[in-house]
Amino acid sequence: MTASPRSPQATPVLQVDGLSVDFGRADDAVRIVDEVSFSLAAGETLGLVGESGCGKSTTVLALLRLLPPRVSARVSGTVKLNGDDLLRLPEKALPAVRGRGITMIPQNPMTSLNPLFTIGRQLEECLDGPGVSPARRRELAIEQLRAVGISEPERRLNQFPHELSGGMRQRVVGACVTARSPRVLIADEPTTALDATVQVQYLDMLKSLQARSGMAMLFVTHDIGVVARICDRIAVMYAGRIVESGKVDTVLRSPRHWYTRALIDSLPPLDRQLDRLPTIAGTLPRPGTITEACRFAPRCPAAHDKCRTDIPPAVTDTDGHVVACWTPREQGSGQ
Amino acid sequence: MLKYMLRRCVEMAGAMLVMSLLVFMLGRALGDPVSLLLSDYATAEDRALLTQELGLDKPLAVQYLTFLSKALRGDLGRSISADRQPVVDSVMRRLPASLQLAAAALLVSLLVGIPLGILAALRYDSWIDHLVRGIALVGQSVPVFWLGIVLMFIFSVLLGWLPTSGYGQLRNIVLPAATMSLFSIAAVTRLTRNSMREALDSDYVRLARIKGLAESRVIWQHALSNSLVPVLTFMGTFFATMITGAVVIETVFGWPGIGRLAFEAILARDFPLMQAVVLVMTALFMSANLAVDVLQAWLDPRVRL
Repeated sequence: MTASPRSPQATPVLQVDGLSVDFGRADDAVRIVDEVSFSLAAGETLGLVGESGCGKSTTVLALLRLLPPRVSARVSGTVKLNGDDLLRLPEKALPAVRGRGITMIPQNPMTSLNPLFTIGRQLEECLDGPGVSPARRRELAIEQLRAVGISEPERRLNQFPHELSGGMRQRVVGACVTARSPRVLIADEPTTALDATVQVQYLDMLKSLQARSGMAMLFVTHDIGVVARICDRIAVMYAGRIVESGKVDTVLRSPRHWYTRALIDSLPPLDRQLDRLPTIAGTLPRPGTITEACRFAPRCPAAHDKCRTDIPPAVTDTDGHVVACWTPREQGSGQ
Repeated sequence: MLKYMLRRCVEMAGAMLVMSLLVFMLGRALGDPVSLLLSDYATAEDRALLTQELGLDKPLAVQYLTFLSKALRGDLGRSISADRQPVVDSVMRRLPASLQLAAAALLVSLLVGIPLGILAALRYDSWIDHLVRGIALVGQSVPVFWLGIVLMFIFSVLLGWLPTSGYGQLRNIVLPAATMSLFSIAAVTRLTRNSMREALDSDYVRLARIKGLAESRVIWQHALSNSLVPVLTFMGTFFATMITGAVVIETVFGWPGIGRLAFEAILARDFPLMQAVVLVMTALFMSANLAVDVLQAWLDPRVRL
């Protein structure tokens, strides 16, 4: 069922180039997202992986132009959706793009639905447009609820969010944001707040939605297991930069960046009992403290002088495997 | 919904019962009604006769039950003033004026406070926001009696636009309603601004944007409806402030409402009348709260549980 990874030549639906986000006023601005680039083809799923605070959520909010105005963020780079640069669209044009072109399932299902409106109202408002009668809208809403795997959709339409479980609410959110058949769906840790069993069902639901509509999916998570399960490609983010990307199989089997390696090693093994969970020594650098160097250098087992003075450039090999490291691990040197 | 309303009505009846007990006790605690009613030259027989007539020789519990059953039939006794009118009649005669004033003030505070609060929230941290917050702070700090006198001085004495007191015409209500509403305008503004701010930052507003809804829909439907919930909650309290605050304002502006009636009753030591005013104010206060609760249940489905 999983859409096959497209060849790199296929025109991407979403093309992100040199996306940077700086927080704060000009003179003491702090760079949270630094020159992030990736692309997504129709039907493809890209996993954006990194630990909490590495800039994943800021990246996706910047893509959707949803960074709250009060943080005074400066966003630069280009985000091309079917050729239009989202970052340069006027504010007024955004509603037409969101929902239809690019959309998102946010993290918290408990607070994402309006507590005062029925499920039906919140779903139907995504479906209205010229020439859609109320009866047709209701029909479409029921269809949409069925597509995200909600039982008794007719009854649910008249219910309020507080009458639904967390898993169901997150399905409703999924139904709302995909109602207008968007080309790109960003899922920002959509299952973090759900029970483990519900998580798997939810991921399957997303994959079947994707198979039906052929939308591209950007899956943001800190869970490598989830990436292995549903993604075609992976991009590993560390302290605001993408340090390694490529096909999921390649990257997870033989990671070339030392951070990716450490991330994989910190997964608890299933076959034996450990007294302590494996961890990566050290902590994420405070934003703004490391600028002209590899940001992982302070925690890297292979770091040398050059790593502390120069930013490693992203190097692509023939397989489309990209790594930004001065001394990457040898290819094929997985465990 | 019906069950919820029924429950609230029963709760209200219970609260009224407690209040009637308090009012009754207060009446007995604050002095001997017989001495109040009779002149200093009354004889012992007169006293005994009146004590018997008023039922004061019976046990307190019996007295309370008599008081209660009479109160339920709308009889709270007669005024001790010369005319000896039933106090309920006096209160009911004064009630419309008070309700007019409170309704006018409530209307003004919602019509001014809500838009100002929304404006400040939408222009967060701009000069408009700062101005609105400044006005709101002043409005909540100014004492009512002072404001009333100052407004009267400016608009009646200096400019001569409006009468200082009186009742019956639209121009009469302007100054007392303005005085009464300033505090609640300020409170409604602050409340609306903060709850609107919170709503605009909320996850469901963000989702409404993600869904691709027009900004007008995001603000006027999703954010506004949620920001009005706390405003609604406070409306009951505002109304209470308007009834109790009325004692001062009605006295300053000579407004013939129950606030001034309470003031007159106190001056004349007309105890039955005071009891009636207190009970009616309590009933009004509770009805306002009930109305607010019902409105809230209608707006917010989570309340109906």
